[in-house]
Amino acid sequence: MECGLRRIFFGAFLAGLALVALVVGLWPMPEHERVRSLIEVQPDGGRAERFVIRWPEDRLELPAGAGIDEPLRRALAEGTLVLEDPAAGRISGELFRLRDREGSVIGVAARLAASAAGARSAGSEWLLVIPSRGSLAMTQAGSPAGGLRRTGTVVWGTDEFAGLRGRYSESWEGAAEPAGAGSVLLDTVLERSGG
Amino acid sequence: MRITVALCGFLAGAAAALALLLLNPLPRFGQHANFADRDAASIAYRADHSRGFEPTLRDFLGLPGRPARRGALADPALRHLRASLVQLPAAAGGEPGIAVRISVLARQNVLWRGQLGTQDYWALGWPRAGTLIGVGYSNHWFLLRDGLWAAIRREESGLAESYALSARWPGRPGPQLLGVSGAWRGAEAGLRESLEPDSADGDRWVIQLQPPVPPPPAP
Repeated sequence: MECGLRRIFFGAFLAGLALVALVVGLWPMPEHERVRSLIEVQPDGGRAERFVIRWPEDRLELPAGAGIDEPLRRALAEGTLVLEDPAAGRISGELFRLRDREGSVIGVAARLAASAAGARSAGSEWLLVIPSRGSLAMTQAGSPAGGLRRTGTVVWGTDEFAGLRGRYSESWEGAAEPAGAGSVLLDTVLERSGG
Repeated sequence: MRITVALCGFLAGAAAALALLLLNPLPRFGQHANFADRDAASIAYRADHSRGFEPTLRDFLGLPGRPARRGALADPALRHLRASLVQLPAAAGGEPGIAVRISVLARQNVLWRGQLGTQDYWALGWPRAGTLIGVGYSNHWFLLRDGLWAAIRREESGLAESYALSARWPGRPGPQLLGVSGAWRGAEAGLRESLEPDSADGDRWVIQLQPPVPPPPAP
């Protein structure tokens, strides 16, 4: 009798062990929703893709936390953080939703713009993160403030964009006044980097 | 009697498997040690200005009961994303700066290997020093495990003082930052991140940058 109970216990023990191991091993981890990529293949083998940010609806409103002054709270409500120092210069960070050319939300875009004190122009960097595909980092050297079209370089990519380099242009489509609605268009042309 | 013995055996087996999972040594091999203080600049910040998914067991495992997302991050493509704007106090470069951090649930997460982490995309900028952009992998396994232990034992605070989060990106080298503008242009840097939970002012995040100061501007 005792021997039989022991066998039952160890058999059930192994069954419990195996069941948990199975559940842990086969647990379906969350996956990123993927939107069909809208890429145009260029005659020279490059790939062109347009990303869109709708202004102002795609700004990411961020929480302000306790003890935050009103100007900063307002800025964070628009997804912006700005540091300005007369001696050092100015730097701003912004966050937006990112869309494909058909208007589907596919990721998040971050923009950093910095200018040292006394500099005539500001450079800016874009970081585009598309959870199901990877990321792109783009930089442009200082360009005249107020320009509606700027160009720059794609310097780095991960996952689906790994090994791709190229150029991009940033343009504005929409109302002429600064506070009007419109879209920021980021047109990229990428090629596989040599070597 | 037999049913009781079988039930006890089954529960004991399940508990043993869970204990083996929680005591899993594999995650330790992937964790990055922090840089030595002399080789890196440490920048502490609070992630007040963040929104998106929460780094909890429920979100990492996709368990039901998560509150519905509203607003700008409600889109299905952004369900597993967290975005932050961070004020960086003066440390690297000797001037205050701004960082943007976008974390997404890592596609490489594997529960039995103790990999429950995020891919963290960084853009750090200073007015004069320039900008760094990069990506890394943070494994929240130990933090989540200790939190679960504390919840099971009904302890208010069962967490360690600090958790090193930066880990080897499964299948890729990293973490790595690339300087894209200013004094940082063309340089490479390393980043390590740790979390000090429940410090006096709430959760405190610490990032280390190596090298600690930007290289001199090119002639």
